[in-house]
Amino acid sequence: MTTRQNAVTGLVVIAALAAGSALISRVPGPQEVALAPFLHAGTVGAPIHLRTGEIVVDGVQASTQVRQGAITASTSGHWLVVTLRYTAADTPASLAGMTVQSRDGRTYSLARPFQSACGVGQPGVTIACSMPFELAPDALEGAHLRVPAALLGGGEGDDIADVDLGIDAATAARLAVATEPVRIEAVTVVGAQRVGGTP
Amino acid sequence: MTSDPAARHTGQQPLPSWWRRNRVALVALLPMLALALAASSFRYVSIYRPTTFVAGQVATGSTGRFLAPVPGAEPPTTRDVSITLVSATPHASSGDLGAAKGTRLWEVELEFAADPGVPLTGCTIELLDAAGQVYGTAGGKPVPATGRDRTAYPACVPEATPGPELDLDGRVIPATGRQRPASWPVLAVIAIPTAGTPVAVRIHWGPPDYAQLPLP
Repeated sequence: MTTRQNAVTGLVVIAALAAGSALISRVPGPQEVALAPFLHAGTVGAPIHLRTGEIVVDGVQASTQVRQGAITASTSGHWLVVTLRYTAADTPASLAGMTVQSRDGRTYSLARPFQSACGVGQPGVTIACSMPFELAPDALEGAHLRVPAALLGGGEGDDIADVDLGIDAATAARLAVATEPVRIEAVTVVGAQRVGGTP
Repeated sequence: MTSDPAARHTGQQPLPSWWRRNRVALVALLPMLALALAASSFRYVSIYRPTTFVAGQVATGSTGRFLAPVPGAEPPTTRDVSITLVSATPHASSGDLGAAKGTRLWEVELEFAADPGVPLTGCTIELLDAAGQVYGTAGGKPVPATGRDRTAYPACVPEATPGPELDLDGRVIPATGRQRPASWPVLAVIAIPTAGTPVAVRIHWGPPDYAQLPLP
């Protein structure tokens, strides 16, 4: 093999390595692919199917004060209380690990002393719960509720419901001035019926 | 006459075919493929099998046996218990519990029999329907006026004489006080949609092992 052939071979190998490296840097890695959630987008009032069951967000309320039993909590931001129904699919399961995401990507989780999970769901039996999130004043508009199918893993490589809570600028302004304390209801059993449907 | 140009040129015998030249490696490839497949099953062995119900001890009559080692127990311990299904009947209410709309409360009466030295606290009792749906004791029941559903997590041992227990590290804590009787009743109350019909009861202390008895 001539010196010229050697040089060409070397250049081809280097070019192939460079091309491969550039390609790999633009393709998600196996870990990234494995942990990517399966997002199920939805809106208020629409049923969303997850691996572990079906959820329906019924609505949102906001205030600077929330109350559950003898506990009252105030905030300098806003309490956003999301009311939802849940019907487990095939096995008993609990909705936990819910978060609210603001439009700019900030994540707000549920906090003690209030309930942090929507009870234990029984297959085919709908339960209802209201979950309080403490948000910064500017996080109401465009907020989304994120509900992982299971607490373990927080939705990594699993189903996640991504519910647009329908808070536009006008709604956010109305919610932002609400100061009437919101009562957080305990988890209640609605009964055996299709979520969003009739018995 | 040969068609191999090299052989024609040198006047030698043609080279053996590629398959013939590599036959040893090709034969060795088969067990290597089998070994690669076995090695790739580590997730099943180390993750899926220990966390799913794959080791059923399914009875055909009203009495069955649960026999399985207690994972991580110190000293090593085996759960060996005989379980008899006494009855399973649906009701509109059970004690201070009322069934939610469109559901019935199934009362499952079992009888456990085991050596007093076997740790049996913390079991789970579930009903299964023909479609494979699993119904537990904790969900689907409205909270009674007392504010607490005492049937949400049934004790699988007598309250006064529970027998040995396990601490968080798996160490067996010997029983104190009176000895547990040789057999005792266990009651589970499970909410099921009216349209559902359970076909079996499943008893376990966590996957992968479980005992299953058919409902009459």
